[in-house]
Amino acid sequence: MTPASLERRADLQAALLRVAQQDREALRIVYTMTSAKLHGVCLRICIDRGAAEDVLQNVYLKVWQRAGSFDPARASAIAWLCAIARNAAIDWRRSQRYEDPLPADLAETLVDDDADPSAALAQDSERAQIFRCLDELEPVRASAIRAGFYQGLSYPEIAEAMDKPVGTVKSWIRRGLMQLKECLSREQ
Amino acid sequence: MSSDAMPDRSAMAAELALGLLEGAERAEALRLMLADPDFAAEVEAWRGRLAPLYDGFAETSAPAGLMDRIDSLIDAELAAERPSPVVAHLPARSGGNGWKIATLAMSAVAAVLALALVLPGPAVEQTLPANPAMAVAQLTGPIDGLLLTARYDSRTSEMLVRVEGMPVTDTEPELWIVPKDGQPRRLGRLMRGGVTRIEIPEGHRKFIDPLSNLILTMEPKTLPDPDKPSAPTVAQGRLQRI
Repeated sequence: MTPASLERRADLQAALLRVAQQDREALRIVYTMTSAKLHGVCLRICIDRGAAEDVLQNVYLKVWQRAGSFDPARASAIAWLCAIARNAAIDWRRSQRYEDPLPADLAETLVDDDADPSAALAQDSERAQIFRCLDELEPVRASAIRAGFYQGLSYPEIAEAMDKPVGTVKSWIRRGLMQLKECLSREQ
Repeated sequence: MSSDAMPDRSAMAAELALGLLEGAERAEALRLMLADPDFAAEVEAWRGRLAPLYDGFAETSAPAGLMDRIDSLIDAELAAERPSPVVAHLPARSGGNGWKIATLAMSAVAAVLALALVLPGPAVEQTLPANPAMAVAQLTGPIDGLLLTARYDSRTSEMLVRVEGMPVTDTEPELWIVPKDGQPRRLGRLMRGGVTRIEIPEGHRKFIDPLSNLILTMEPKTLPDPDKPSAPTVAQGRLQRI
């Protein structure tokens, strides 16, 4: 990690800890530092721009309410924030059930192996490991795992988008995750 | 599933962390998180493993003006929940009513401040501002929907703890305070829902300060060691004086 990114990380953590003390100015700082990232998370999963905006708004209200439970020893500030955004976006998606068909282009985005375009942005080798390990997997397994993580899809949704039985997709993902775990422990 | 490369439970931990589970499967996984410390640790380990993947979400500028809207929402929430002096002078209510009102406003610690003023006790007869000898905390953790709200009143040395969203488990919720020395001190067992009233032991009262965290662990029915948690933290929150 570069000194600049370390400094940024420390600044974000400090601001989030101040939000826990109900510091409104600190919430603005957290927003300025992270809203583009969290908007990206919400938009990727919700797809719908208006929904992503609503979810993002609620994410920062949750941050305001829950910052007291942020523990720097357990997660980085950005991971903690991204997790709130991802969970909120997934909750929205799943509340939209699903007489609506999946978007027509979903299958294409599923097999887009550029789904992690910022692998190069993984700032240090430890963080970059998981991208290397994903690249080692069979492409269908990696695609299915990426679809779960980046698009917030459930097993049936991934199966539908990949046009495979749910059992097949489940097996791909479980085997892929096992390989991922082995790869990560090997490289540590 | 024997054909899979991972034991079912490990797979479920990974699937929960990845967000693949829905409905009954997800409920079962959340229940296990509270009941089984090993499973909870495995889910946490998977969340840690997957966290670098967040780098893969592209940044997209947020809509202009959104932060101002968020600010307005927080302002509106606080204004709606701030008690008028008339409310502050209402006769004492029963504790049950007070908490029923409290649930309407549980979304911000500042709201709890407001509610502290309408809750029963000698303070009801006092005028604003708030008694400084109050402290509040909200506890959350990896279990979606699990929320604890604690309010401590130094005049009575009592802590009221409201529990919402606790899945059914074989284990029991146990509340601890962790002061700045990092050593947890036991406060007591909580009911799985509703409000538990805990009298804080005299030796622990000095720990009620803004450097302390409250943590929740899920313990066996017979606590293995009353001096330290035997299970991982499932929810936590920092105390704040109000």
